[in-house]
Amino acid sequence: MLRLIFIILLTAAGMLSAEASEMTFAPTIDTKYEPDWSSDEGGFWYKVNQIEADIKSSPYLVRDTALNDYVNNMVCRIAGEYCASIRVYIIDNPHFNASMYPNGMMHVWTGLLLRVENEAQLAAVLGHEIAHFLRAHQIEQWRSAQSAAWAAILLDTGIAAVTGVYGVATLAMSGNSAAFSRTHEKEADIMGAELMHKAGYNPTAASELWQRVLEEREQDKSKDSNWSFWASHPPSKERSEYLLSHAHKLKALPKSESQSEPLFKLLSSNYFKLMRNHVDLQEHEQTKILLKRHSSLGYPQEKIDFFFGELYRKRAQDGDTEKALEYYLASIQSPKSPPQAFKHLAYLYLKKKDKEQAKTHFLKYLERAPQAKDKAMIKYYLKSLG
Amino acid sequence: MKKLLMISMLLMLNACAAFKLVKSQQTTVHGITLTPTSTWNKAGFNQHKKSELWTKDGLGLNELYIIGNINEGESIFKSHNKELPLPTFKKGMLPNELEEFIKTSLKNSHGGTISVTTDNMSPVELGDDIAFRLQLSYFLEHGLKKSVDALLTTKNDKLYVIMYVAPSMHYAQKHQAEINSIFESVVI
Repeated sequence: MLRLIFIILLTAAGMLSAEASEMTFAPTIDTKYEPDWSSDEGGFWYKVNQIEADIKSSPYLVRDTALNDYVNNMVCRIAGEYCASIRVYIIDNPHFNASMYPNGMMHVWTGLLLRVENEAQLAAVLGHEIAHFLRAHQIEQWRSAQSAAWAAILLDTGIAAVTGVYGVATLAMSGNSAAFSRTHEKEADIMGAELMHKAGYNPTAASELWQRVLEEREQDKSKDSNWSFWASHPPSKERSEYLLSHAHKLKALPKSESQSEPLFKLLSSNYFKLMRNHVDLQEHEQTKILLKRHSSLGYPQEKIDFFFGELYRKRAQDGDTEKALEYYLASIQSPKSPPQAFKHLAYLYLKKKDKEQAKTHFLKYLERAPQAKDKAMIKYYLKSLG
Repeated sequence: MKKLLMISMLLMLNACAAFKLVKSQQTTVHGITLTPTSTWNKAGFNQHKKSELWTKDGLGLNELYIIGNINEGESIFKSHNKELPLPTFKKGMLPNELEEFIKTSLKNSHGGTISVTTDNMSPVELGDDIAFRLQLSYFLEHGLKKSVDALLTTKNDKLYVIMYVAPSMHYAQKHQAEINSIFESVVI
């Protein structure tokens, strides 16, 4: 079924592309491009192929077939004839990032999936990464490396990107080649916006996404404003502005029904795991911003309430205990609430010296999670509560 | 390039001169009295001013962190990433909060890229006090699984942690009897 939808979408995208204006930048590689294996580029590919071999067995690879198919189909829709050259790997990393490698390997981090508000915003990032690939930015960056040592660091960070940190031509590229990288970033932004437009996505979504990134950053008062991300990237405000300006130059697309529902349905089935990974960072301000957005995107409300409870309980500022109680209590109204909501409620009641409520909720936790890894601890508390 | 070579040489020198023998006798480290039943090697550098790091076979193969006298507002590792701060200890933390505190400390000291799982959590009597034992595991980026066996307690609003970290394959089990014995010997 997905394949059928994909073929229809590709056909539609092809029709749209015929009408689209010419691209500002042309690809610098052909669809079956391979380097001369005895060249420096061949060596670079060899290393990157090793990274790809590692990632295939990484425990952090998201293996949900439906979600992978969906993102792969989006990539094909945007990349068109280059579809077969690109392989997507979704990595469970709570930070906002995606990265592209010269051999066609693309990493999409779950932190990105948690931040998009519609499919077009995801298409904007995928288009941006595909543009890096089509323009072979990675090998240019590789060659611009000032010394063999710096080149080695580039690769090492690439290897580290199996779970995160940095990738080559990543959205969060290390700052040492900042100016060069910023030129590439802007080129990838423009080309990415045109690619997504050709595929039938509204290119203003690219601007919206960067606006959201900027808002998230500005609202997180716990952070220094000098984020290393900006060293290699056009600042979000500037980026958002030129992306919007460029989007307006492109031919208006016919208004279509929201395409985002199937994506959020797939993300919803993975939501607890993905958001759990984010909440575990204890980045409370970011969590709050994300959860507020998620409330309007159709993610499961009982999980959102649970994570709001987690946020306030862990932040533990004045008044947070009451807020945490309120959210956990809202969560447990649903039979689909996580069993942990009962446990944390019990511990909160324990702090408030409400022994009866603590006992009740510990018992409900064990009832919902009889094989809980901390059941010995819970039984100890139940015994001490009498 | 020169700068990199200098850093590498300094690291190598540091690695050569970095260990001191720990005898199999009672010792007190940052408020934690414990008795190893065999010799260990103490690293000359620490993750934190209130911690010691011991190893048997070499860092990465087995690491015993002994961390004590942690006050409100302090973390258990040294923070290297302003973008991703380490959690800090708060007075009155209950076991579920201490469990999360340790897990996030490990996660964020790996740049937030790992997921730490609880394998077991149970109460332990420590003299007149109650502590708890926490068994965790996580995968490194290349797939190596690590096991964590930790003993945690609080006393007079201070946190005390002994944490054994080793690859799950072979090394976690290799010194399990010694770890059990050390944990049983602990007095705060």
